[in-house]
Amino acid sequence: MSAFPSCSLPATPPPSPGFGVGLRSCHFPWLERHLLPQQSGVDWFEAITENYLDHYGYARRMLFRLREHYPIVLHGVSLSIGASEPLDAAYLHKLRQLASELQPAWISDHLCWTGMLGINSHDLLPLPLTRESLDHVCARVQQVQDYLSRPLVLENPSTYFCFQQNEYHEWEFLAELVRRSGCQLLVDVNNIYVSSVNLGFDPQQYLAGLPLQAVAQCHLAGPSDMGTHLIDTHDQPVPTAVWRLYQQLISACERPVATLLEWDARIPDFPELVAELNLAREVLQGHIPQREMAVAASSLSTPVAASVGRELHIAEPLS
Amino acid sequence: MSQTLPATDLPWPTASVRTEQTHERCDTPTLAEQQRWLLERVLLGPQANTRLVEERIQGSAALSAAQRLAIYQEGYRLRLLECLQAEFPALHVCLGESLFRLFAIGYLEQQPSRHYSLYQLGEGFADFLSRTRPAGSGLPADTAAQLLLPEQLARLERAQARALRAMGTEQREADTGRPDHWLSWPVLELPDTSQLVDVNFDLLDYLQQTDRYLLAQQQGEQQDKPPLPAVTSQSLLVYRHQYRVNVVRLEPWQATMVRQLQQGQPCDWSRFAAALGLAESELLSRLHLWLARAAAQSMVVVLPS
Repeated sequence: MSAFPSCSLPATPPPSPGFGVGLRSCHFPWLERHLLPQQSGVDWFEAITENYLDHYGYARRMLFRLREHYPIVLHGVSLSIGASEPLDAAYLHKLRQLASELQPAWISDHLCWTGMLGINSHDLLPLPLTRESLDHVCARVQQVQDYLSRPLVLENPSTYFCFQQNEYHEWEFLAELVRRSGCQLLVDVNNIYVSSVNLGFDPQQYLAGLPLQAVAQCHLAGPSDMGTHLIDTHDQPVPTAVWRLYQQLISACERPVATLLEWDARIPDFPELVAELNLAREVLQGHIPQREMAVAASSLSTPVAASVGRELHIAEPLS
Repeated sequence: MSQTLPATDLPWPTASVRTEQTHERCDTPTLAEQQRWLLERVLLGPQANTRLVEERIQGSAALSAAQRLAIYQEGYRLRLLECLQAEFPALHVCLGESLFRLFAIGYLEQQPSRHYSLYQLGEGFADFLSRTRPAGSGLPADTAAQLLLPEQLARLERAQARALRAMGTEQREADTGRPDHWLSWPVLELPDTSQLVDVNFDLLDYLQQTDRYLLAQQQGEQQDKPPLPAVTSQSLLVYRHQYRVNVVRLEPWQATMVRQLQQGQPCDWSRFAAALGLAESELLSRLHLWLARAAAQSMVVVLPS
């Protein structure tokens, strides 16, 4: 029996765990020495799901050590909720197993698809925003929620084009998806900003169209200016325009929302990362940092190689 | 406009990806048709773009539909190249940027990722390098031998990546240990974190040199690229101890034993001693001396007898 029957109102998002950062392996040695929240300066972590499926090494050990002291959220990139092929049963099975062991605060992924015909592009590809897609994604969200016995939290991706056949704006699509499936939302304000510049919509209109009662979390990150468009590079500080959107989102939600800073390339040392995260607390007090967006150092959206490299081969020996 | 794409460019059977008439028709494509079309464009790259890009994707004065699509097409290659480079850093140093890129792109075109995890991306890279190695016939022997270097280096670095993630011995120390006593043959098991890699080059030294070279580069220091490794046969054991991945060179008798364990076969010590031309007592003595370190370092597991 479905735990989340269709057409039900979205479950209330869990209470905000506060301010967190994405867990990255380059910070493990530092976190070994500053394990507790009062030492690290963050309230919670978001772990990339796929980095811990089938993983029985040091990264998994760190994840579970951190879990003893922090809420952890599993954030996936390969669920491919919008793909026109059947869901990957092996992936879901392993995700459920990991969730059972880790007890994450929630599980999130993206409103996108990543491949078909068995091929994974490892990119968050845009969906045609049509009635057919909406029906399809609603059904799959419900399948996933039934299987995981919890609401799925879906993130708006950064987008570089729209399909000609689109019948919805993205915020309309998300609102309808929430209403019909009971899923919750991870609102990436950086992605809203990137997409608004690239596609030419008003980010205020996007925020106004979201079902804010379903917002479980938000993401912050720094994009890169390519001149003609923005790329979601996660490789630099959060610019003023994104901080403004963040302030507007939290103000509109009228409640604390779990806030997470993503940084995936040219990753700073952990204390510098925490300093950037702490700006979010100041923004909520009305102090918005004044920053220009940097011109691109990289044109790669959502870099991921840092998570598969050999840096742990040369990590400090464990005590 | 219609084109039939060469089979070698495609990651699935040719018949399924044929012409614009079949997959690029624009009369309200279904979700599946749109996704198939877009995935083909992403995999094939900007050179395969056609006029139908504008019919399917909205462009603007600032950025045409083809330019927008190219962001995904270029991102796909850059992302996976970056991952392969991260997993095979010594191979990248050895081949240099342009040659590594050539092989990596060829690999991605022939074998696009079919797994949810990027950790699996490099699984077939060494075999790909082996399959695409030029025939050595007609070449001087030393030149032909050098052609084996990329695939062997890739195999070694892939073994390191596997050791990083596999189920190790860290959680099972209690039920394993040293042999019961020095006069008995031990029962051995190879943990999933241990893998023997036979090579024709001094790759142990080369790996250490490239690690130092890459570390210096990260720290902004100037250092010469390591010279190519000397030709010499080595049996290298990649293993993990206390979550740290290491590589050690094995003696021939140790390698023969580990190879047998790797094949899932129990050691027939009498035959093994005879094959090595050793008295059983000599083999037993050597084995226990080695096991004192090998078991303590989690290279092998000594099971309770």
